[in-house]
Parts: sequence; C-alpha cells; structure tokens
Amino acid sequence: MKDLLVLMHHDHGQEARLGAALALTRALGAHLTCIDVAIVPELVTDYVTSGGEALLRDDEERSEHENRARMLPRLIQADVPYEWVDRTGDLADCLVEAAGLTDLIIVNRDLSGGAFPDMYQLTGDLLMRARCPLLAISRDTKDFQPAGHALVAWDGSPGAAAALRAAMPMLRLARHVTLLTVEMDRMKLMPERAASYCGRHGVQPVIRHHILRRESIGEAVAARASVLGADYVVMGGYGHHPVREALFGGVTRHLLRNSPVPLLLAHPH
Amino acid sequence: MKNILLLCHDDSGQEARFQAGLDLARALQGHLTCLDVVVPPPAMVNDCFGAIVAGEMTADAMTLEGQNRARLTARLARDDVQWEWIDTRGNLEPALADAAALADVIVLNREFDDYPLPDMATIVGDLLVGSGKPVLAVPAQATRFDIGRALIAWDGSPASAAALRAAVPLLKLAEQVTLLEVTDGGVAAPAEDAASYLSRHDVHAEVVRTAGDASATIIAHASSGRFDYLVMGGFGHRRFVERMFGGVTKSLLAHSPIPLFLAH
Repeated sequence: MKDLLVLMHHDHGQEARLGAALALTRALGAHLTCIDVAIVPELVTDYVTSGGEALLRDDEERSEHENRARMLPRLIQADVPYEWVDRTGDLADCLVEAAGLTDLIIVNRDLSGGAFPDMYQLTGDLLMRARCPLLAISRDTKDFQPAGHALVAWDGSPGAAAALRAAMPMLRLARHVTLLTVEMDRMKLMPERAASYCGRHGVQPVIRHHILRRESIGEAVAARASVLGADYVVMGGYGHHPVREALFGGVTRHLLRNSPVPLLLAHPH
Repeated sequence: MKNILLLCHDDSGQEARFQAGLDLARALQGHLTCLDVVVPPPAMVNDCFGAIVAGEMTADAMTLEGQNRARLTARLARDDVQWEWIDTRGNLEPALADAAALADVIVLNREFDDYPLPDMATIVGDLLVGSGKPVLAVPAQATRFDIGRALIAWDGSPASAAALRAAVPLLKLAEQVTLLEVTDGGVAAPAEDAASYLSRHDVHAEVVRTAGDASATIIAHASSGRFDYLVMGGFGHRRFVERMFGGVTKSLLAHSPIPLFLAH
C-alpha cells in the first residue's frame, strides 16, 4: 500500500480525512494524492435553471480554490510525499477516474444530518466502481492509529476474504489483530483458514467468537470494537447498484452509520 | 502474494503448472495449495448401463488422480516449499472458483487440448472475471517459471491497472521491468503514470512505446527471448469493437511463448 488517495473538499469531514490520511501515509511510507473536487452534481437543466447551474459551479470552484489555499500549506508542513490535483464534476466519477492506480481511498463513512456531500452514497458508489479498498473515517476521528489494534469482522464470505486480502499491508503494521466471528452457521470459510492465510503474510491474529444476545450483528461488531479498543474495523462491503433502494447489506449499513471507529472496506470483484 | 492455488489434475499441462507453482512458491516464500480435482465424466445416456459406465469412469479417474497425487506429493516432500493438498470432485471451473477465495494467485495453463475438458482459455477467462484473482497462465511445454525479466503490456485500462497492481510482489523480485505501451488508439492513462506507481513500490521500470496492432506487437515482444513473463489485463474492454471480446487476451493465451500473469 504505497499510493493513497484522499478526498479534499470544504466540508465537515475534511479534517478527519486529512488527519487519518497523513497518519497512514507516514506509517506506510506511502505517497498521498489529495484530490480536491468542486462538486457539481448532474442537474437536469432547462432554460430556467441553466443559469443557476453555472452559478453553483462558480461558487463551488471558488470555494475549493480557497480550500486549496488553506490546505496546501498544511500538506507542505506535514512533510510527506504528496501531490495535489483539482477536479470539477460528479464526486464519484472524479474519484473513480483518479483512482486507477491507487491502493486505498480515504473518505468519510457518513456525514449525518443531510450534510453535503452524501458520504454514505459515495462510499457505496466507490465500493462498487473503484478497484481498491476504502478507509471510511468518522468525522470525529482524531488521532487515528494505523499501527494499533485491527478488528477483522469475519463472516466467511467472499467479501470478508477480499477485505482481509486488501487490508494485509495495514494488518502487517498493526500491534494486534483480532478476527471476530459472530454467526458461524453456514459459514463458507472458517476463521481458522483466515488465520492461516494471515500467518502466511506474517500476521498472527487472535480469533474471538461472540455469541449474540439480543443485538443485531452490526450492533455486536460495533460494541466489540469499542470494548476491545480497536482502532479500525476491516469488513467486506456489499455496495449495490445505485438503482436499488438498499445501498448496503444490514451489517455494513449499521456500521457505516454507527461505527465508533474507521472502517476498511473492500468488495469482491 | 503468498497463497498460491495450483490446479493438480492428470493432464498434459500438469508438469508445466507444477514447475511454475514450485518456482513461484520458492521465489515468494509462499504457500502452495494443491487442488486435486477429479472431474466426473460427461453426462451419459440415462439408463442402467450409462450409470455403470459412469461409475467405472469415475473410478478410473480417481485411480489416475491417486497416482498423480502420489507422484506430486513425493516431489513436494523433497522440496522445501510449504504446501497442502486438497481433494475435490467436480468440474474444473467451479472447483477452482470455490478454492480461490483466499488465494493470491491461481496457476493454470494458457492452453491445452485434452478432450473432454473445456478449453483452458475459457476457464482462465471465467476465473479472472468471476473470482477477481490473478491467474498465472503457463504454456503447457514450459519447464520452469523465471522471474528475472518482466514485460508489462500497458493500455491504461482498468484491467491493465489491476494486473499491474496485482503483479507488484512479483515485479519487486525482478531484475528488469519493461512497460510496453502499444499506442494503437490513445491510452486512458499514459505509461508514465504506471511507472510512477511502480516507483512508489520500489520497482523501476523502463517505458517502451510502439504503434501498431496490439496483439501482434505484444506477441513479437513476448517471443523475442528477452522476457521471462508477461503481465497484462485480461479481457479488459478497451476499444469498442475489436477488443470487445478480449481479442488481445485470447490471442496471447493462444500464442504466448512465455507465461502470462493476468488480472481483470
């Protein structure tokens, strides 16, 4: 993992994203590409609103121009190898296009309260369209510890296997790795196989099985992450086609909205 | 790249795959998962004679696989590679797809003509798209897999990028890496982007540009004797009509004299 991409944009999640991105860049000895997107959604225009769209675009570009002026000095000071790229357009399209040769994209998991941009939607889009894992940061994340305690939520699915493989460079840095299982029925790949796989990559996880009481799987994973002091959770994400109502499966949805810690997500392609 | 899935099945491509799997496991200090597949005979006439014959053919197949296993495990025991053996029954493709979930690379042949097994190029294509894992497709006559001199066929497509990223652990072990950009139309991302990405992973590649027909040019380079293996995107769609059905990939699978490292 040597090529990271972080979304820069004047919004409530930027601080957390940048903080986590810098910490990870240093820990991995990586290169950070900061992509600042002036977000102009695809609006259905007619002659009445076309003026409005141009105004929106100008505003956004000006705002991001100011953002760049503020944030660039911070990058210089951070003293990591970096590159700044400016784009204008649909957020997911710009990120996917920039992520052709990227190893990890850093976004927020959810900026709730109808905040712009819709990070929940973005996470779903990127998971399906980009070919690398995502690190979805909470807006309150300060002091992200990339080399801390990693919790892998293991359900034996192809998604979990994909996430485990994608996360390996980070897991190798971790001081401790927990492989957590919740429901074992009909599990395709048992946690012991996941643990052997980790062993071959020089990672020795501890397997923990949690018995559900009255909570949902998502609630159980979130609670374990807190109790065990995990610094991030690794899980398979199943993003759906944008047309379908439910963007994610239940467990992913719960964690995107409620996880106490950042999520490292990947999708099996 | 540590977990290598190797198809073990008594056929004309077995030796080449086995050698490649061993060489790869040694180079990567990886783990070889030998997947032994007993393929049931094709559907037979549905009468009592058909059932008996099918039973005998399966018994024959199992005897052959048993002998294959004995031969290969004896050789593995003498080598110092970490390995495990898994027995399974079924058709090749679903058996491989099931076993591929935690694999980092799958070792197959690029072609062979053993009837009644399905065409290997089809299996490679389906596995690439279905499992999302990289495939090392070796010529059936290959006697070894060398990692010194890598050739990367670059066209800026997502499949090209996926192959490049997947190949990094191998490329880091190479003495020489060449990025070949065949400009017969405009590439989405130039080879310099690929070279920058590689340099961040401590791999230093030289960029070579040529024009002309992609298949012919790549095959010419692959046949020059200057490279040990070729990295390329498998069945990526680049130009609407010509490439739509993975023309370049099919061509290389049919003709490449050197092993192909493919990802989708």
